[in-house]
Amino acid sequence: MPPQSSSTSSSEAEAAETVDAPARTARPAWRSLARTAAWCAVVLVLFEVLTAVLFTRTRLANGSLRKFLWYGVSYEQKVRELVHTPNLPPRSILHAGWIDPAAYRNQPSEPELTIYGMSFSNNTGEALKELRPDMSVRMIGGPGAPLSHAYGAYLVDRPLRRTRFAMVGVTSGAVQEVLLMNRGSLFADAPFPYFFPRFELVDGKIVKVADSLINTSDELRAAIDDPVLWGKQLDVLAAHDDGYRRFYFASDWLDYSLLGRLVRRGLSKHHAQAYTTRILGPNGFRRDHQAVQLFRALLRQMVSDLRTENVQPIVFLYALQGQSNHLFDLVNDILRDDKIPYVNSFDLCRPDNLANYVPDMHFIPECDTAFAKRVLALMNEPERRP
Amino acid sequence: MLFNSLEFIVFLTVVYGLYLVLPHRAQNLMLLAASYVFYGWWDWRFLGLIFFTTSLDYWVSLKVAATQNERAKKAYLSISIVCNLGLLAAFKYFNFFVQSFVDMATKVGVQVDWVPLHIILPVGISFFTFQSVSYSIDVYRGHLQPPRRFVDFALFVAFFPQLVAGPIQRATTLMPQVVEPRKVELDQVTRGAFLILFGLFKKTVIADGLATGVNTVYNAATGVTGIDVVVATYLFVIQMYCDFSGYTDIARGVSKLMGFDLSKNFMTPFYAASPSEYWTRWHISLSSWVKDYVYMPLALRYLRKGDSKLNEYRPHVYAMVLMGLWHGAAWTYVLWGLYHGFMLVIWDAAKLPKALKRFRKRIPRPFWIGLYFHITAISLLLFRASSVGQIGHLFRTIGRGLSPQNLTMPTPPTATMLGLPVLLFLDFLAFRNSSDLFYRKWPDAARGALVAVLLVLVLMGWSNAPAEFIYFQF
Repeated sequence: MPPQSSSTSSSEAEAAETVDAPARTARPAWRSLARTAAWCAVVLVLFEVLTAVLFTRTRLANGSLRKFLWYGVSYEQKVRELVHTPNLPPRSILHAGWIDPAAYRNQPSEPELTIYGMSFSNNTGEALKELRPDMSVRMIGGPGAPLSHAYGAYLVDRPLRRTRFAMVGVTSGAVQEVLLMNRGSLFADAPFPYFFPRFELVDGKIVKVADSLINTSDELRAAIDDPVLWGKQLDVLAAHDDGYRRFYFASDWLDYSLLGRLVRRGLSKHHAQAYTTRILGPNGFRRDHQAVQLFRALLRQMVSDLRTENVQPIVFLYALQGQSNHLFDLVNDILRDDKIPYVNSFDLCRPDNLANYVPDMHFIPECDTAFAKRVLALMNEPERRP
Repeated sequence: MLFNSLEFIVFLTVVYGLYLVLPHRAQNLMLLAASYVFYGWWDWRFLGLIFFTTSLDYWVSLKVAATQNERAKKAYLSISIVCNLGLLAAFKYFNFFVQSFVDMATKVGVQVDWVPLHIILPVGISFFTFQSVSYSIDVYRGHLQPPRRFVDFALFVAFFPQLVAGPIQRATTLMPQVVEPRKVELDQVTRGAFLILFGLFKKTVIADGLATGVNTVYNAATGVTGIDVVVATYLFVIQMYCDFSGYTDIARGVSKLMGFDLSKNFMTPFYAASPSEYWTRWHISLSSWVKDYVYMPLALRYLRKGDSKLNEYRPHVYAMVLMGLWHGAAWTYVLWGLYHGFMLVIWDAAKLPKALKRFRKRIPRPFWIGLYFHITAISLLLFRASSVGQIGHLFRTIGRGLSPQNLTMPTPPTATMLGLPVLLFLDFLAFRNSSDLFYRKWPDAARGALVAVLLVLVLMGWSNAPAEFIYFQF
């Protein structure tokens, strides 16, 4: 240890601090404080005005900083902006994820494999198509969709197709979302406009307790500017979406203030983290939580329903980057007891290997190919051949 | 209860409201109750532990002060030291030492069956234990008298702003502030408020913003590149500084609101040009504690043994290893301590040859600052690694190449990217002025603008994923 350290001991450092004090006491403290506060207010107002002008009337309107400062806009306002964006491409997020039989009819009606899930399972599906171009694949899903969306979509899709296999994709990050009806209730930064039904576990059985009043992008277009229709939809969310909080979701004056948006975003992030932490702890999913119990029951029910209609189920578990094998731990007993064929991304592309992921947190194409090969291998196992 | 949480805002508002209307004695009683609530928020079961050590040390100090018998004094002091350090060892080091023994036995062919005990580490145990031990030693040395009221002493140990992550306060500094009535002055309040704002900026905007990228690299088993490790390590240097000094700033700020003055823990540490200077700028309260209660007694002891270089240097290394172990029970911390100990020795040894001395004087200070910054960065790589094996892996990864195109770690959030230049600028001003009160010389308009900028940045950074303060685990 340095013997010379006494020269800057903490007590001496404090003394240095008090040396500055008399210089300030010469000025009247209250007046100085009031002036500082007033200048602070002036600068804050300047920020408000500058951001309003720069990010709406200049080239900065499309920049990343504008995007960042707009994250705190309410979910409703974001969706409204999206709906009113001119010339939206057909693959826009506005049209993705809706549980809409009309959209499902555009897919092959007698596929070899139907995939229910989200972008991860879609990527696996695309890799499957590349490996086996002759194989017909039907893909039903939504961006980041949880299992309740997959089950809701399956119930609608079931009469529309005949399939031999069905793959159910679930991610480790979406277990907590089975109590929601819209992803925006927890993840308000990016608008995911689609809604999905809410299920509950009643006496050991899955029961649909609420359906969204808005089920297509066209219905959303009609409702978003209609206060009565939109109000009814918000009432449904308030009653049945466990993560929904009006302050983060519905539009209000804070949308027009820089500071207001920052406050809303900060609070909504803390809300999402607190919500998630209640379900997923450092040692895995908390089995006593309603969401976890519903998730397990939904998986069991979906597999059972598929088997009832003579469809061979395959469960695909996707571990998100940096996560442990908690998802497998959560459903391992179900997979074993119900003899469900499954693929666990953890076994093929470990989530603690950064090289397995692209910057948007999806898997690299090599991983998707490996997943697709494993799915094909499961489909080709002798006991699953027709 | 994190300082940057809504619960703490509510807690502080209630406590401060009561504080302003209560008389001195009632203030202390209320602050003690509040401190126990604050601590019990994590795990109420450990309130018993803190109450036990407090009662024991108070009893010991009364006994030490009452007796003139030197042997009896020593015996009482021993009770305090053994109990405090024994509890610390039981909670923090038991598994580590037994596991290390088992590993060693296995290596020499002796099979020992032992399952590590599931021991929960009480938050901040190292901080309040060291604070309590130093009190007992100071009373033994006659540097201070024990307070008349138990409540005052209990508040000294448990004072909530600094209870879980310091700065470690000496009884000679804090106790008089507890015992004597305090004044809440506007000047103190405004300085406190600014410290809180600046601390929140460091924590939420910088530290929490950098945490995601750093954790991604350090938690990844494979797939990271050499440039990832280097960038993550530099960012960890900044993260660590902002996390810990941010906590200290908030702790000092909250204390100032109530008229307390806690000692500083950081003084622009990355402008240190040598190891000895570094330890007068980084975690000052711990380094001065170790200097006074470990290094000095050791140095005296070795000097008595003989005037050799080995005897002069050994206390440096021993003190730094102890400082490493203070952080946690892991070989990475031992390595970190050894590394810093050897740096002190090397720097000292390099002073001796006259040619080297001249050479050192000719090279400008910024070079030494830059050099020592990199030395610090390497030490923090040792500190952040989860195992000695990972340290080797990280160095091998760096050795495989540093091509910038291979950078894969996530970019820090926008708020953090905007906040970093502000932090570096303010830190530079603090260094240039040798004081973090440089802004007080500014005109009102400039100060108002600074507060507004920090306020906007804190609101922007509020959406960064909140993480516990790193030093809570110690």
